Amino acid sequence: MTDANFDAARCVAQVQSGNDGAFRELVDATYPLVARIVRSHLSPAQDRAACEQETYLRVFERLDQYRSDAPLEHWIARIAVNACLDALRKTKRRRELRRADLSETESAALDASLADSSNSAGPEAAASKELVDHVLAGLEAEDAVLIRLHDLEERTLNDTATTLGWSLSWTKWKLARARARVRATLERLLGERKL
Amino acid sequence: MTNPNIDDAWRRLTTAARDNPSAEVPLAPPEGLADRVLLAVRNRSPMRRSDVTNERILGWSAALALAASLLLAVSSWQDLSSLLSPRPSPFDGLVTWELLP
Repeated sequence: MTDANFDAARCVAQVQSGNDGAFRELVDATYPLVARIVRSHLSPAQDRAACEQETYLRVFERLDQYRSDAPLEHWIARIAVNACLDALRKTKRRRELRRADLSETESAALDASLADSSNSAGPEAAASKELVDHVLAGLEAEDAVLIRLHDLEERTLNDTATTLGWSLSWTKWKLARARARVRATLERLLGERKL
Repeated sequence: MTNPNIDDAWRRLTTAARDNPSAEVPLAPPEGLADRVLLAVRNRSPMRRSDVTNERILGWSAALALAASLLLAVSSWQDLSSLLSPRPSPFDGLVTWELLP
């Protein structure tokens, strides 16, 4: 999160009055938040730096839309998530994930997750993260972002809907559809083991 | 989800993934990020302003076209209704007069 000494209202007012130094201060104060969001949604192979820059470009251009009654971090986080979503939409989706595409550790994590022997620490947990990233990379951009916000970051449905700028009922429907796709992928991967 | 085992498997995987966040997030922005953004904003601004102007022109054109279509529809309806409504023919009186002995 941002520095405790950072005065968002003052900084925003100064940026709006054309103070470039205040914008640098805003970027310095909020960068860890933006970097964390971009790193959670985009893989290292994707252009994270471009997405971060696009986020701040939108922040600068839409600063007049910011209402000071809401925390600046929430507003910037929403812009960052949507910049990630747009970046993912431009990325060519991976072909259908097969068991042969998984590394040995990912494959072991998948079997362990079904056998309830997975450990929350150590190599299996790290492999679980790789496997989850692998599964999400095969989904459509909106599905991947939705699953990441709701299932991984444990955000409420309301918060997820607000972040994405969607209605609650649309978010519920999209989440159910995204989970069905995750389920289909896992069933296929687990089915391939039995062959 | 239909298969509870798959549900549980996904839950365990996401729980494990949550406990293993990505590598450390940098605290400081890359050198010159804010300046690059400011430069990009200044380069993009004139284009964006013209985009906004174009959108406004398109909006007004659409509104005018809609208004013109409505006027046309109303006048066509008036023409049609006047054709359908019975009214005396200008030859009625002539024919009557010629037929008189």
